[in-house]
Amino acid sequence: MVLASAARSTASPALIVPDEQSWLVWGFDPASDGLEPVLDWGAVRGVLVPDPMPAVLGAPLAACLSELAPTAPVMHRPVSELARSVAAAEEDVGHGNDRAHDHANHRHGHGDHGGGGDHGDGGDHGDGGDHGDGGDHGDGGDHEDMMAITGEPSGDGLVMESIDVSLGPLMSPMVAGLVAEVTLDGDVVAQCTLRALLRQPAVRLKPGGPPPDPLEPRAWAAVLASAAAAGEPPDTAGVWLRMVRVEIERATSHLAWLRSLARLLGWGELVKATRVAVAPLLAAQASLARQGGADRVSVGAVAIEPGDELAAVRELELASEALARLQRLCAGRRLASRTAGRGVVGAAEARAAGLTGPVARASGVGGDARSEDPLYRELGFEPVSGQGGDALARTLLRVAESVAAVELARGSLAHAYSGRPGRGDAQAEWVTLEGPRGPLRARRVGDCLRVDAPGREAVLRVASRAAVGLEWGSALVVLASFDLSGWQVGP
Amino acid sequence: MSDLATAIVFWPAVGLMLAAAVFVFITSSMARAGLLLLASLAIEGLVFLALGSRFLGFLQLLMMSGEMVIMVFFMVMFMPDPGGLMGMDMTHDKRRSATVAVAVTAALGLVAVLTDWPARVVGRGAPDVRAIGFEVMGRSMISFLFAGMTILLAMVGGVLLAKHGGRFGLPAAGDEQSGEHSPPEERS
Amino acid sequence: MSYFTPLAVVGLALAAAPGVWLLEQLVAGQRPAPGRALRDLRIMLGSPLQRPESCDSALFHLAPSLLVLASVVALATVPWAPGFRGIDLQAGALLFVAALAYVTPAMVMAGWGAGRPLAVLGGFRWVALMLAYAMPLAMVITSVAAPAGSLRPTDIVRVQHAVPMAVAQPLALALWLPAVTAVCFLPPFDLPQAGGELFGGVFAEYRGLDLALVALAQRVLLLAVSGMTAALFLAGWEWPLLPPAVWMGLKTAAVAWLLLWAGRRFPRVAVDRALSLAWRVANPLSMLAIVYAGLLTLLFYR
Repeated sequence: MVLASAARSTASPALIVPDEQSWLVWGFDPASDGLEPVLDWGAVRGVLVPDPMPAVLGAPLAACLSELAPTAPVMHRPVSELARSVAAAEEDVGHGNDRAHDHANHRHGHGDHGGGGDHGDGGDHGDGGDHGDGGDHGDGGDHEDMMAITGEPSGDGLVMESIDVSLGPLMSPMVAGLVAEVTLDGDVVAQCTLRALLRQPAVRLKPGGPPPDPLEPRAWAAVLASAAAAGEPPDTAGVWLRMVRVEIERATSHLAWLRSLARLLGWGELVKATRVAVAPLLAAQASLARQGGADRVSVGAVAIEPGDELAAVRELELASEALARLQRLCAGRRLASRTAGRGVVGAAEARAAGLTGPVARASGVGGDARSEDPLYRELGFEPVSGQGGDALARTLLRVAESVAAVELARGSLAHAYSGRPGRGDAQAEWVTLEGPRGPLRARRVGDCLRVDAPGREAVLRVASRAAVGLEWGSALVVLASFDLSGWQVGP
Repeated sequence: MSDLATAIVFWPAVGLMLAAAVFVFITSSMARAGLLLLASLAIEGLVFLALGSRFLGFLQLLMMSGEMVIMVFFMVMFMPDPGGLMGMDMTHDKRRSATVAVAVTAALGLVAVLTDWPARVVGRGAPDVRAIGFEVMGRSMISFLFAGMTILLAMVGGVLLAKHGGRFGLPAAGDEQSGEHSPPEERS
Repeated sequence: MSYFTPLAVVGLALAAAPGVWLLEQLVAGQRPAPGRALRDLRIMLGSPLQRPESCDSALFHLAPSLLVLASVVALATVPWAPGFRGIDLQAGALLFVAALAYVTPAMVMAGWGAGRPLAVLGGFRWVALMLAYAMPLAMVITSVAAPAGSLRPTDIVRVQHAVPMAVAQPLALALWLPAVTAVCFLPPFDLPQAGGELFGGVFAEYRGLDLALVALAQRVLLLAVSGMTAALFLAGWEWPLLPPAVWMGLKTAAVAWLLLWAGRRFPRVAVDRALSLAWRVANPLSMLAIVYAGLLTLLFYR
C-alpha cells in the first residue's frame, strides 16, 4: 500500500488513501515524487493526502497515525496537523476511537497466536449476523455486505488452530477501504471475508464533481454527467476528445493496478516497466487537460495549440511502444509462474455470480458496454476476451485492454484533429459506460446522478471464494488479480 | 591457544552452557525452550573450538542451528501451549525421568573421569587420522546409515502419530467422532 | 592473525552498507541520492525501538544482533587477498556455512518475538526454505573443497590458478547462486519479509536501531556471499595484471550486481514452488554435483 506524502498541499481535510491506483487516475504518480509504497510505518517516507476524504476511513487512519512517532519528519506536513484534520473527519462520522482498534490495527487482539485460548470466535464468521463489530458500522449509513466462504481444512490433513488476520481498511496490501477478514490454517487461507467499507450512492451534478467511485477516473464522472444531463450537443468533435481521455484513463487504471500487482510480487522489472508505460499516458493526459475539461472541449470551438496536439500524439506513441514491451514481459513464463492456474473462475461460475467487466471477460463471459457505442464501432472496437479465468488470464486481459485503449485513444485523437464529427450519445434513461472494473450505469434524479455498478458485490464474493484454499502469498495475488475496490457503488 | 586462554574460555562457556540447559526445563514457552537448547548446544560448539577442535566445533555450530530450529518448528506446531501463555505444565513423569537423567549423567561422568585418555598429540598427516577416515567411511558406515534411517523413520512415525490428533490431542473416547473436519477451536 | 584483522573485518562490514546501497541504486536504475539516504538513516536511528506486543521481546531484540553477528563472522571467513584475510582457518569454508546457518534462528526469533501471525508465518517460511537449501549449500562447499583437498578458502582459491571453479563445476555454481540469494533474503527469495505479501513479515515491527541492524546485516551478508562466491568459483585474487585485492573487489562487485539484478528480473518465488524446486531439483542435483566433483578431483587434481 502507499503511504505517501502530499504531492501538493490541499487545504481540505486530509486522509491517507493508501492506493497508488487512485493517485494515478487522478493525475498524480506517487513514484514521480520519489515515493515508494511501503507497508510498514517504520519506513514511511511521506504521506499522500487526497481530497476529498471519505469519512469512514478517518478512524482507521487515526489508529495508523498513532503508530507513527510524532517526530517522524518524513511527512510533508507535521503529524499533528494531519491528526487534527483526521479528528475533524472522525467527528463527521460520530463515533471515534473504539473503531480504530477494531479495524486498522490488525495487531491488536491477534498478537497472541500462540495463546490458543481465545480463538472461539473463529467459527462465527460464517453467519455474518453478529460479527462483533458489525454494529459499529451501521452508524455511518453504510451497510457492509459480509461474504464469508469457508473452506475445507488444508490438504495435508494436519489439524492446526486457525489464525485470524484482519487486513485493511488501511495499511494492507488491499486498496483503501477494503477489509479482508482472513482465517489462516497454517499458511493456507481457510476462510475469507471481504467487505467494502465505502459507499457512494449518488453523485451531485456539478462540473468537476467527484466520480461515482473516487478510485475511478475523473473523466468517467464527467462523461456520465454530461451524457445523463442531456447537455451534450450532438455532432461535435468534442466527443472524440472525451473518448481519448476516457481510454487513456482506462489504460492508466489498468497499468496502475498492474504496478501494484508487481509490487505484491516483488518484481522490480515489472514495476519499472509499468512506470515507463504510465509516464507518457500521464503526459498525454496533461497535454489534453491544458485544452480544458473533456466535457468542454470541442475542436473548432477551442483553439488547440499545435505543440500540445503533437505532444499528446507523440506521448501516446511512446505509450504504445512501452505497452508492447510490457505485453511481451507479461506473456513470458515469469508472470505465469505466480498466477497461472490460481484463482480460477470458470465461465459457468462467472455467469452464475453475475460478474461483469474485465473479470468476467477473462473467464470468457460478459460483454463490453463499449461495443454498443456507435463511436467505438466506428473505430473498429472489438472487446478483448480472455479464457481460463485464472489470475494470469485476468492480468493478461487488462494488459491487452490497455494496449487496445491506447490504440483507441490514438484513433479517436486522429478523428478529433481531422475534424470528423462524432454523433452525440443517445439519450436513454440509463447511461451505461464501461469502467476499468466493469460497467457503470447512471440515471439522472433531480440534480443528482444515481449511479449503479452491477457486479461489484459479486466480485467480492467470487474473490473471497477464489482465495480459499490457497497459500497466503498466492491468495493475496489472487485477491489482487480481481482489482477490487473499497467502494460500493449504487444503492 | 595457551592453556590459560583455553581455561578462560572453557569454564565460563561451560557454565553458560549448563545454565542455558537448565533454563530449557524452567521456561514453559516451547519456542524459548528450543532456542535456549540451541544456545546451549552452540556454546558447546564454542567449547569445542576452545579445546582446539575446530572442525568439530564448526560442525556442531552448523548442525545444531538447523536441527534446533526444526525442533522449535515442530514444538510450536504440535504443543498445545507453544508460547507458554496458558501456564500449562509441560513436564510429566518427573520422578522417573529425573532418576534416569541423574543415572545417565553419573555413568557418563564416571566413564569420562575413569577412562585413561591418550595424551599423545597426533600430527596432521599421521596414519591414525587416515585410519579413522577409512574406518568411518568403511566398515562403520553401515551402522551410521542404519542409525540415520532409524532416526528418519522415528521422526516420520512421530509426525504421523501426532498429526492425527493435532495440537490438542485426540478427542476423548466419549466425544463425537470429530476427526479432522471439526475446527480446532471446539476442542480447545 | 593479528589484532589488526578483526578491526579490518568490522571496517569492511561497515563499508558494506554504503557500498551495497550504491549498487542497489544502480541496479534499480535510480540516481543515487546519498543525502536522502543519510537523512533516512538518521531518522531510522532517531526513532525509538518498537516494543512488540508479545511476551518474547527479548528474542525480538536479540534477533538483529544475532543477524549482524552471523553476517560479520561470515564476512570474516572471506579471503580478500593473499595478505589480508579475516579468519583463515583450516575449516574456514565450513565456518562460513555455519555462520550463515545462524541467520535461520535469527529469523525465527524475529518472527516469533514480534508476536504477529504474519511475522510468525515469515519465520516459518524461512525455516522451510533454509531446510530445503541447507543440503545443496553444504554439498556445493564440499564439491569445491574436494579439488583443493582442503576447506581452507585460501587453498580453494589457489587451486583455481589454472581453471576457475565456475568453469570446472558449473553445476555447483548454478546450485550455489540461488541458495546464497535465499540466505541473504534477497528477491526473488525474500520470503520471510516479502514486501507486499507479509507486510514486511519478520521485520515489520522493527524500528530504530533494530531496523538499522537488520538493514546492515543484510548488506554485510550480501557482501560476504558475493566475496565467497568470487573466492570459491571465480578464482578470487588469482588473475594476472591487476593487483590481487583489485581483482577480488571487481569479482565481488560483479557477483553482488548479478544477485541484485537477478532479483529484479524475477517475481518473488511462491513458497511452495521454492520448496518443490529445492527438494525435487536442487537436492538431487547437489548429489550429482558431489559425484562429479569426486571424479574431477580423481582425474585432474591429484
